[in-house]
Amino acid sequence: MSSGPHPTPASDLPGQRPRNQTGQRPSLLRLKWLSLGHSFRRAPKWGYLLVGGLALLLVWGEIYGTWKALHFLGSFGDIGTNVFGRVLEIGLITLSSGVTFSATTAAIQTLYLSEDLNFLLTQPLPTRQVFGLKVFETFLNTALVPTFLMLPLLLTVAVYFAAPWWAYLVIVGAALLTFAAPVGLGALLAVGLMRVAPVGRVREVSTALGVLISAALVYVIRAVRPEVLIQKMNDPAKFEELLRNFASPSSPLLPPSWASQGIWRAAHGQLAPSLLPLLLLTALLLGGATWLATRAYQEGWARALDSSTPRLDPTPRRASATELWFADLGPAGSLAYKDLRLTLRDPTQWSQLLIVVALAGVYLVSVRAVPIPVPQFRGILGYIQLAFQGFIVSGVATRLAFPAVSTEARAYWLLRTGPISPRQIVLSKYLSVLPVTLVLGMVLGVVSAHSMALGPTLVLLSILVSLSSAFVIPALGVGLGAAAPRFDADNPSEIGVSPGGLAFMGLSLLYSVLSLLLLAKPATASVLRPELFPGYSALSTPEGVLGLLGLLLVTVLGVWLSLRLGWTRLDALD
Amino acid sequence: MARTRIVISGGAATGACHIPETGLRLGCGPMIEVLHYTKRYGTHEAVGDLSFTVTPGQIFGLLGSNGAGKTTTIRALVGLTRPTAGTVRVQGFDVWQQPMQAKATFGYIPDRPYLYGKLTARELLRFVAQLYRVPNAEAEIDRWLEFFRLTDFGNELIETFSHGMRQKVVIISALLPDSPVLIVDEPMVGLDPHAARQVRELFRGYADKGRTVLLTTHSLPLAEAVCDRLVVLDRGRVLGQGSMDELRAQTGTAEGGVHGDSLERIFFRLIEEEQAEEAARREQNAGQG
Repeated sequence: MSSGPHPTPASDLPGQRPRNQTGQRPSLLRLKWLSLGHSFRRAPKWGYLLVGGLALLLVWGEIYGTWKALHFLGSFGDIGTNVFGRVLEIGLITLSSGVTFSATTAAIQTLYLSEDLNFLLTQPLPTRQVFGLKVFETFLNTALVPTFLMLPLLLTVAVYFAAPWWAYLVIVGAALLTFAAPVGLGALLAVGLMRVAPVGRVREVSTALGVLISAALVYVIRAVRPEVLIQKMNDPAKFEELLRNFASPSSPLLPPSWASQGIWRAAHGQLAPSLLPLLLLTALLLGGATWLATRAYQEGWARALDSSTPRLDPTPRRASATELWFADLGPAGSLAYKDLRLTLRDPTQWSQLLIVVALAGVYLVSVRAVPIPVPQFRGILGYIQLAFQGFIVSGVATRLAFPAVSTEARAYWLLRTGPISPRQIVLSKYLSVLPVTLVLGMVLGVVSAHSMALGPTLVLLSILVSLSSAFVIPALGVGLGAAAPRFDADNPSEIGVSPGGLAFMGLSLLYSVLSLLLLAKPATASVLRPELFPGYSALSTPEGVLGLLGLLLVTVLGVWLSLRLGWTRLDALD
Repeated sequence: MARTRIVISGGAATGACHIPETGLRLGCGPMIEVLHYTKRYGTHEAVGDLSFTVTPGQIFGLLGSNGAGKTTTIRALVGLTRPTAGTVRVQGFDVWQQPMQAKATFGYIPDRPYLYGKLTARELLRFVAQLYRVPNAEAEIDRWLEFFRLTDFGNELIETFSHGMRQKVVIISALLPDSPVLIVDEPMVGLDPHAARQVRELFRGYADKGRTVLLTTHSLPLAEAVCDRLVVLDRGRVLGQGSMDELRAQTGTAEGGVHGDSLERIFFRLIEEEQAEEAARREQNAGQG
């Protein structure tokens, strides 16, 4: 027997007991919690203070805004509060649609591409336990922010209507179920797809199919109410009515509508039966995913590790004309082309573009359907909904702009040690995202303004505010993403859920509100006093001119300061 | 191995070295300067007051145990870790004051070959060539792929490559710009014996053309075979510095033994001396306490 220089096993040391004799099963959640604690202690405290401050400001703003809106609308009686109910429903539909669209890709990334899986799935741990942890992580990555965004608003509604104590529990539960259901669906789809997708292209095929199926599911439920479709297809008049009804937020087949009804009724002291199908659906999806995972998870993971068979073609593939054109723009151009190439090749990235289109579609369909009888309401809501558009652009930027630098991941050394400056890197990333947010912002601004039949001033303001958001929000995303990059994230979904990511979301939401407030005076003047301010005349008042100048200033400063912060901090990175 | 003769013309710091065999004219001042470099992480000092210079035509080795500060020093030289104190220069450019100029003068081979998995080898190398503005890049890429027997894999995604193949791509990306300085962190990890020999010969040939190579390695035989000068580090401090002969004289170790044995003896002698000094210091402190 060798008596070489081996360290004494811990179990042989006096007074120490081996861990496995404690009878305690290892807790993966405790392990994650421990790791989170270490990260928290080592991270700069100013970051947490900033995030905490922003969160408080956001919660206060939400509560204050909701309370004021309810008071204002309540002065019109039930019609007014019902309008609030519909807007709440639109909000829940839009947010849960966003979660549904992203849950499958996030589930594939979290369940199959996380780096810690190499360790976890080779340990003597039940697959179910690892799967449970990863589904929980998927929920945190996709639904944490929407849940926290909705809760203060929902609880304010409950306080406003003097709801009984149990209603608060029901409301929190309904909000959690609203976002847990799409996560369960995403996990179910992820496990199924990873098991059946062809070996060698498992990740690509699964992600592509996952996104398409999620989008199709949302649209089928939202736009094709199957129970009435067959009856009405033959009658053109009824078909037109049906098309209008598709957009109606009160869709009996839509889970967020069940949640919305449940929350609204609970706030009024009644327990709505619609919460039962929501509960059953969520349990079914999560239970089904767990059942499937116990059979197919480990195998799917092993299949995902198999790479495609190389074709070994020695003929050199030369640079395309487009690549050469980008290269002529300098290092930043080459970087932009490299990013474009990676985005188009990586389904977890290009699928984000589909999500953008799908989110915009759901939002516009929902906005067009808001039944508002009073013209002034329409104008005011038409202006306020610009803040929601800002939220959508923020959601998009959370996926595209904020992770832009972090997705360099561990290959960042190649840029850091190469002759390309942090300024060039940040600008290249910003200019790559800008076309997407500009197109999205303009489409949302123009289409929603026209579909709500807003006056000329509001249409112009809608376009200007959308443009400003389209410039500033991705700059905030790229800037803060570069200031606090996560090159070592376990999976890409984690990148946004960090102090920097949360700060970005908070700041971009605040910006959406700030840009509205700057032009609120001329907007309300044109809506409430159309006889005094016809055409664009509200914009030529001192408040209008100052508001426009203010918007220009915050747009320029917002872009410049955000990007500057990004490249300065990236340069200082150790 | 035959060494290329370097003729010094002009002053040592500012003049030019003319290499007759290649016709190359390179600066003859130090290509790498590390002056009083210190790196602290909080209260922990990873490297303390380290100074050395590397002149053209040299392969300079940084040796040491795990945690000695080799990689920390390399990371400061390539712009990855900011020095707490001191200066690091490459070809006269301060890496942290003139980063763009400095980074255009060296190629870097890190210890772990992290690359963009969704690019093919050719696409990645073209991207590097564009960043460094390499002339006639496509032909150079073909040549290097052929050299490392990767031509058949040139159009394949890097995510399908083995560790060794990725390491070869990283080495090509560092050699492609044909920079005057090559900075290398543990170059042989993951390489097969054939590639390891190729890389060893490449480094020698690189230096023989009047260029400079700085490398860290745990492989004492490799260091002894290729390095002209060495620094032995331990816990951030210099234990010994110089050519093999100078180190032998410093440590009193005899030349000879099997290939590589000589440096091994020097290395362990330096480490033992340091440990003995450390033990003496502790005893002294304990006695005072």
